[in-house]
Amino acid sequence: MLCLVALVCPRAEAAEEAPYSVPGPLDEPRLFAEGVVSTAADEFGATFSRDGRTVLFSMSVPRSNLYVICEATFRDGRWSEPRVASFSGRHWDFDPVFTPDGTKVLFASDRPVPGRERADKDFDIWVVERTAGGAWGEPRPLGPSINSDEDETFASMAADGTVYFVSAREGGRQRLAIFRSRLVGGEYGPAEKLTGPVNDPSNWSLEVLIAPDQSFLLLVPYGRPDGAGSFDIYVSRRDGESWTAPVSLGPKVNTRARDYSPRLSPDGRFLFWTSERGFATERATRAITDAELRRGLSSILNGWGNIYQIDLRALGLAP
Amino acid sequence: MTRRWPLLLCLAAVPSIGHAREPAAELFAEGTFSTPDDEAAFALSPDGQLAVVELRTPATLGGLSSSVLCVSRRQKGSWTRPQIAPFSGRWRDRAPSFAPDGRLLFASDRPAEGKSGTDFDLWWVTPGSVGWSEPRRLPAPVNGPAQELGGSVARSGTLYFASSRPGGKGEIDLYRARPAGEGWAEPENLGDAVNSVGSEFSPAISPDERTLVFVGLGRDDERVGIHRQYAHGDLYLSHREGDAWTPARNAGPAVNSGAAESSPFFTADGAWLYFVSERGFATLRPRHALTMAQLRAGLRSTLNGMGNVYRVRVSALPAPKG
Repeated sequence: MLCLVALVCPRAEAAEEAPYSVPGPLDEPRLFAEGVVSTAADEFGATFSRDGRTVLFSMSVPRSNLYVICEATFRDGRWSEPRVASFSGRHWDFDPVFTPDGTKVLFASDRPVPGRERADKDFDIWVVERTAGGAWGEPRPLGPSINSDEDETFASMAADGTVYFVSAREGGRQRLAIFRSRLVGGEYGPAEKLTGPVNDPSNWSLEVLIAPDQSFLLLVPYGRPDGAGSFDIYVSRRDGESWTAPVSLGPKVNTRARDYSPRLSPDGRFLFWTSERGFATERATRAITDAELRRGLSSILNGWGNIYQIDLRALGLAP
Repeated sequence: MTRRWPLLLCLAAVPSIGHAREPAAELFAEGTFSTPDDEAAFALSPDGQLAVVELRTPATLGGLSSSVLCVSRRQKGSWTRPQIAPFSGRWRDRAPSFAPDGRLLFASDRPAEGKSGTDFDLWWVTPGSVGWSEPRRLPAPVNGPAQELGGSVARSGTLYFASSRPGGKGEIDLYRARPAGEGWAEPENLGDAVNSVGSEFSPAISPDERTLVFVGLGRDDERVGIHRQYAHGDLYLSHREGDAWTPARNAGPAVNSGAAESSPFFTADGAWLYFVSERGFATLRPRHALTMAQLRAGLRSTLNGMGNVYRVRVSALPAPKG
């Protein structure tokens, strides 16, 4: 009997849909795990393990006082109450991104680098490994090809191991640019700055999310004249060794509020992102009442970030 | 309630020489004007019987937020629950400030006749015994196509205000406009002692027009929380000597924290400085990793990192240099 279970279970699990999936097309934004992950607090940047049964995301303490990486698991048909990830809770930890093979998570942090005297000098990219049992190892910083003395604020990994990241290494926060570092013979090669309009000043982005096959990347410029407002998510496609002019993901994703922190689901079907759309996002056509204001402020759509998902196909990012 | 003690103790522990300890700023009217919501600005009428609080909707830095002005009245020794002012609730209304004559000055992006943009301008509204007057936009040359972001009026009628108009020292600067006829004369930039290449806003002029308190953003001596990367703003003060201003100095630890301070004003008797601060449970790096229970409790508390109202005795502020 035990033998039989052991033989059958892995196959049954592989066939099972990830818990974030939905039957039928998802052509409109859907609030993810309402009341559990998406709450009245500020959540952003959800990333999923390969089986979809673990989600990591960040929570912030207003107003940008502290960022904490949190974790929830899917058990008995529902998402558990999130907990602070075992490796987080004290330093500024944010923007976790699972690697395509699901064995590791990249994240940004100001935690002290071993051998350097103090934290809070700058943000670096760290990696933490996930054991088979789902426990987390000891985070370690990526090497000098990726981390510099200036800020590195976001990193994601392609299927071949190439790391795409945002760095201020060319001179402070006003000089953010997207770089990549390729894995050559088990070592990360020197940072290469991406060519093309992705690194024009109008596209400066704190984030870069690479598709596993490197056919496109997502970036999040601020205040572009053709944008919907605040931060918006744009796509740039690979064009040989260069990258095409970024194009907005459109009004389903981008609103007057801040829309940011994109991720792709492990099954390649969904865009997950964060939006601060809420009860006061659209211009009012009349004065709000006191009751409406109080209700709005205590609701999930109070203006703090929540996690949304939509089919990539609805955005023209999948066939 | 208990969560605010560690921070206040921190502030109170700042050494002073040869005097009794300087009193630290105190949280004002917790539960009414200082709540887990975001009180972004606060103003008291000269007679102390009327309060206006700017309630801001949440957004992270760089995000989109709205603001409404809420009114509370003093009745039998306590404050009524703040309610949206009859003239507010639709447009973004910010930076309330009472003039010595009892009128309320505020900044708003509301439309006006002859105005084409959606920039912020300064507006007046007059409280009456039964209601409020219709808001009136201040005329040129105070308002223009740039952002006018909040002001403060001295007993002399001179208006101090923040504006992004061209010709300043950088970003947002502070200006002064003397009364002239029915309006104001051409505003003057307050100059290098006050303004910098960065932003200055949220002016508060003392009733006798001798002390100016304002927000400086990202100056070298700003008290920072965990990160220098994110400037939040500190209060600075400058003293008027004739027509000149003393170089602005940081208002010091009795007022400033690693979080944002803003929206100062002097009470009509000149004895108190009120201001808003976002100091909270995570302004400084936690000693130990937070659990989810601690994080949620902190986020539910008054000191969750959103704005609250504080006050400090003016006598606790740094004296003029020299």
